[in-house]
Amino acid sequence: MEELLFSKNHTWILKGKNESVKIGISEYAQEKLGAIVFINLPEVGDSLSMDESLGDVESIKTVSDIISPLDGEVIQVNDVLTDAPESINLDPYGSWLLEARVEKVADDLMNVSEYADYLEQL
Amino acid sequence: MMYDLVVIGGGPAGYSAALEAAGLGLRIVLFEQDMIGGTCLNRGCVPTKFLVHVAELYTQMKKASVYGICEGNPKMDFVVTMQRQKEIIFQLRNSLEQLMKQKKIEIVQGKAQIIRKGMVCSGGKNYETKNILIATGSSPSEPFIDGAITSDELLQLDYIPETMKIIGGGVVAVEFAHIFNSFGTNVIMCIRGERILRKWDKELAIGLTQSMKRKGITILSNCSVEKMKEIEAEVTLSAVGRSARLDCILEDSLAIEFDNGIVVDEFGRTNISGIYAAGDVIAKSPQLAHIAMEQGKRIVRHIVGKFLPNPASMIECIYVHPEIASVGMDEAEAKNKDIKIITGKQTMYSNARTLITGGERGFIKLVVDVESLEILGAQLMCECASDIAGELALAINKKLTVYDLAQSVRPHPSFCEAVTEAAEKVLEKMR
Repeated sequence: MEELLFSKNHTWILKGKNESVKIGISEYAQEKLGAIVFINLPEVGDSLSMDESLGDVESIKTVSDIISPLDGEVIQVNDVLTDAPESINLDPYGSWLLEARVEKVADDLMNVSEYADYLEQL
Repeated sequence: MMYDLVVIGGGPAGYSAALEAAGLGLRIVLFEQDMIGGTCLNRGCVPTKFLVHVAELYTQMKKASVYGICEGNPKMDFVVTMQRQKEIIFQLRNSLEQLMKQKKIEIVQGKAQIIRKGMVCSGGKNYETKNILIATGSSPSEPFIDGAITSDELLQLDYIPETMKIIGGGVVAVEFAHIFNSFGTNVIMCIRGERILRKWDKELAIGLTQSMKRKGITILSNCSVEKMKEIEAEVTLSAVGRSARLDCILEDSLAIEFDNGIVVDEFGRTNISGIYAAGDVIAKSPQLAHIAMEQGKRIVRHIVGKFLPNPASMIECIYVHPEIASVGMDEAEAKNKDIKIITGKQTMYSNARTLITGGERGFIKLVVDVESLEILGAQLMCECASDIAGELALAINKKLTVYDLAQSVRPHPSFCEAVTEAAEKVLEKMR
């Protein structure tokens, strides 16, 4: 948890090796969405643009865009989620959506305690 | 006698052209070597949609107790099923033949050969004509696995196999997988690539993959030919595409341009004046009956000098449950064309009709041009998607905007209410 950085749009990133990061959605986001039934993710090679939708997540309540916290390129997609999107509800920080090669990340990413404070204000 | 038009082939392209031509007072003759109605009516759309209906009925009956209808376990009698299928096809073919007779269309049963421009020969008799339409359709591509059957043979089956291996991941493959899975067959799909429906919108393909897997259909992706051969199954269906059917209708000396199908322009003209082609036989054909019908009519209009405007949108449907339809452009195509788009997606969980009918996961997605706000395309995975697609195709062809769609009143409760909601999602994003 401590190594995660969060965006205001409730995605998290985890820095990996060679300028790559994994992206997921936060506990808060999965709880707001409710039972997740489908996840629509980009493909390997697709480019990601900061503050733009990288895909969407469907729950039985709603469908919500996943807003990219960075500019970059998709290098891996977590295909497990295609068959079992409910894994995000069960383990949002273990269920990474995709891995991306980063060009630039958002300036206003928060650490876990800053994100907790941010959620308090919502 | 000089004909205005000779039509070779009595499938959707051929009979639609013949009916259009008869309505415009042209002197025509249509040749059919097999059965009027072509692949669509006899070995394609109609018999498979009949089986889709049976599959749906059977599935609904098995779930009927949820609705308080309790009458034991339903059982399939596939001999009766196939007999009913034959009756429906016979009835439809009969109606079509009657209609053509009423319109005084001369039908000749037999193979026809174009012996030269303006001259067709059949059964030793020559027919002189101003124009020729080649509408000879397609047939399933040859299986590359020993013992495999094609969709033509599968539709003659009179029993439900325990296991079925399907080679291919296109529309025909997924429809048969859906049908036989519903009947209780253990279906294994073998595909060469990463995913089924590789020519389709990714979300539709992945959505259907998820739905099929949940119903117990096994999908083996990146499957080598060796692996495909190894898998044991009672029936192996080869669904690896269809090939244009020429059946020696062309004299080599005619030199009609051919590239995996007859090459035509937007009016259906081949490189030889007075010779047209339509439907599955043409190069890059989408192999859809409704497109073939439109092409047939378009050609006749061209012959009489009354041009039809080009339809802007292509409608493609997959008859699985829930149905899938795609109209016009999807996100990937817009991206490739550098068109800036905005999308609106409405899921069907909150749609009253969907819940009432026990519908599964589904959605309607609109693809809208950011600048003009015109509807460019739509992808649907929901009950009655093929019907709702008609409204969206009209919107695209008439260049309606997302406001037009949002403001149109739709019945409540209905599946198509989700179109309003998807349009509103686009408007929300724009605020």
